[in-house]
Amino acid sequence: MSKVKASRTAVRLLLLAAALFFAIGGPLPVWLKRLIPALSPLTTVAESIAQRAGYAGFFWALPPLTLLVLAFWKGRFFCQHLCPLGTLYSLPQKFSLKKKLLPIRLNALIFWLVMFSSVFGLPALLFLDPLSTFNRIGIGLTWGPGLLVPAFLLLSFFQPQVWCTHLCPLGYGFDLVHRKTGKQVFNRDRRQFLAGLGIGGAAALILPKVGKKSANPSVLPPGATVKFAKTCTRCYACVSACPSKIIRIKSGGGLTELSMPELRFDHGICEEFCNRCSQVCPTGAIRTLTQSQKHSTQIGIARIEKEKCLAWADNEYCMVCDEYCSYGAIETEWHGEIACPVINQKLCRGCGGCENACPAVRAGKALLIHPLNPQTTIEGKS
Amino acid sequence: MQKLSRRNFVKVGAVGTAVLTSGSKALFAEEKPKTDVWVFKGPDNRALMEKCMETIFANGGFGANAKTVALKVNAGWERTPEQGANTHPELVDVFLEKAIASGVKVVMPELPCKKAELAFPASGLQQVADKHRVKMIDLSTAKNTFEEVEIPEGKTLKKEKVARDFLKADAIVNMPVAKHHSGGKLTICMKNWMGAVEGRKMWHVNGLHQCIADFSSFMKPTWAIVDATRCMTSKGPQGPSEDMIYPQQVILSKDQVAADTVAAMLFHSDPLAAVNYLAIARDMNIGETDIKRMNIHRITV
Repeated sequence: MSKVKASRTAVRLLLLAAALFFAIGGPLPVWLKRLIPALSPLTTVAESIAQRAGYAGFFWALPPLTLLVLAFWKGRFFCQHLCPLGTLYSLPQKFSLKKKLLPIRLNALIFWLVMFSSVFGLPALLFLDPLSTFNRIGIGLTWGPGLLVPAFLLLSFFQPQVWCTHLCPLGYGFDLVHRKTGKQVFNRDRRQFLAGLGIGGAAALILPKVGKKSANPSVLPPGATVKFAKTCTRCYACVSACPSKIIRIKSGGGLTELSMPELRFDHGICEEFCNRCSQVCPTGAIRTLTQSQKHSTQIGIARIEKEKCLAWADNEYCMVCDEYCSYGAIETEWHGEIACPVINQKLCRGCGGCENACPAVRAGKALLIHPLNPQTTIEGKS
Repeated sequence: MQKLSRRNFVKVGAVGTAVLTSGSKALFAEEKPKTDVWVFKGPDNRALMEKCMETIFANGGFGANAKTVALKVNAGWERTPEQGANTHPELVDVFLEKAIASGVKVVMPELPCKKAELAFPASGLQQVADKHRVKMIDLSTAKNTFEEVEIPEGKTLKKEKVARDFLKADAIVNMPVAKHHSGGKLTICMKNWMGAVEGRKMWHVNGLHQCIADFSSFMKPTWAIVDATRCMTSKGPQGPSEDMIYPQQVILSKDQVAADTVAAMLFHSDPLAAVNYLAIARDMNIGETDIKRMNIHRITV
């Protein structure tokens, strides 16, 4: 028997290593970054409800559906054998003090809260999905959602796998669809079902109104829907997929925008022939774009602040913005000898090329990208 | 009449010779040798470049004891060779082949505008460099790569940090593509040096055209080779441009200002009026800008 157990442990560790490898990525095909968070039936179902759309498509819906079918026969098979986060949290088990920090199970509450808030269009707490949580490891430690993993790893030293047994909404979902225990589990947690209905509904309505709206609205990755802030589970697959490293984690903003990915152009630009971030989103917050769709997507529009501009304000031969514009969106207005830049709003994609390259130093950059939400498409010309 | 003594004869003769020799310098100043510029024209890029290399080696090559050559191409943009934003890889291919065969070691340092991993392969130049096992150096990521130099003749630009690969090479070759440029009007040889310095952003702040001319007074190549096979006449330097011309020329000179002037005539009838840094180069006497004082060899290939 111990032989079987050893081989099981070996398989779990191997899957954990593979999942880490996918999350971190590197030279692997970019869609592998989507694999881990997209595997979650909880994410797929909740997001489809929230967006009223089968955003995943057949190919990406198949793995989570397979897991649901597996759970129907085998219950928490995924948790016990496959889940990389479960394996990670089980590592300290031998050294655990086995104290009861959290006496009651809240997983049903979290599960129903996610489900019912999704019905109202905002999948609240879906960032707790274990596979999105795991995927965050791919970009290293960050504040907020990025601290979940180390926190629960630490807690596992006191109460073994406290996350898996007491909190995980995905694990509860597997219990619920299990043909043998489903009914029993549902009846046991009826109160949490009702609480989830109430709190979830209220959360979906109240959360968008909490917190200050930030003065600088965020430029979002190409393909982002209008519901981006609400439907993103902060798995940060896009952050880790971006070769320019311009997708950063927002600080500040309203509660629904907390720690969401946004574009910043101080160290790079949204490259002309790149659509990687749109290939990895497991939630439909960023829709998949082909190369040519991405090329004609306007994510924002540059605006010139003339009083800061070397040409407009200082009479210099500059036009660096035009040099760096890949789309010919900067037009020239001649003021005597001096060429001054003007933005053609029909051609500007908001890639940040001009903002990044602007050499003005006296009063700061003369060009800033203002987001378009919803994003628009340039027809014809490219 | 007093007889001219031998002593006096020698004296007068010596003075006279001195006056004549010094006078001849002043008298015949206009007659200094004209600047050679070669213009190769023909449909086949490789044949053009082969003729160009032949001419280089017939006129001193890279110098008597040159062992290393630093080649400055344009490889700054993620654009295809046909779009004319970067030096044509076919020309560079022939250059590397012939230069290496002559026994020198070539390096290709470049400070790209786009990320090197996008621009170098798209330009086709990375592949050509790899083919000849030439190191294409991305100056934006290479560390400790710039060294500050004084520019004695500079009016605005008195100091600049220059890529060390150029400073330590025995010979420098400036090999840009000629194209439209929004801020510089045209970018050919002189402006190409912006891809070899660290502080290029500040050139725009401090007066672009003066800085271009200042730096060219310091950085003088052994050879300037202009790729004018296909040129953008608008939307430069990145493009893509709808206004392409196809002169199918390669322009060669030891004087980069002369090469720029001749190449600029493909775009403007009066280059000095159109391109400010050329007029500044004339005033600072950095190189030849007068067509009449050039020996232009037009060679059809």
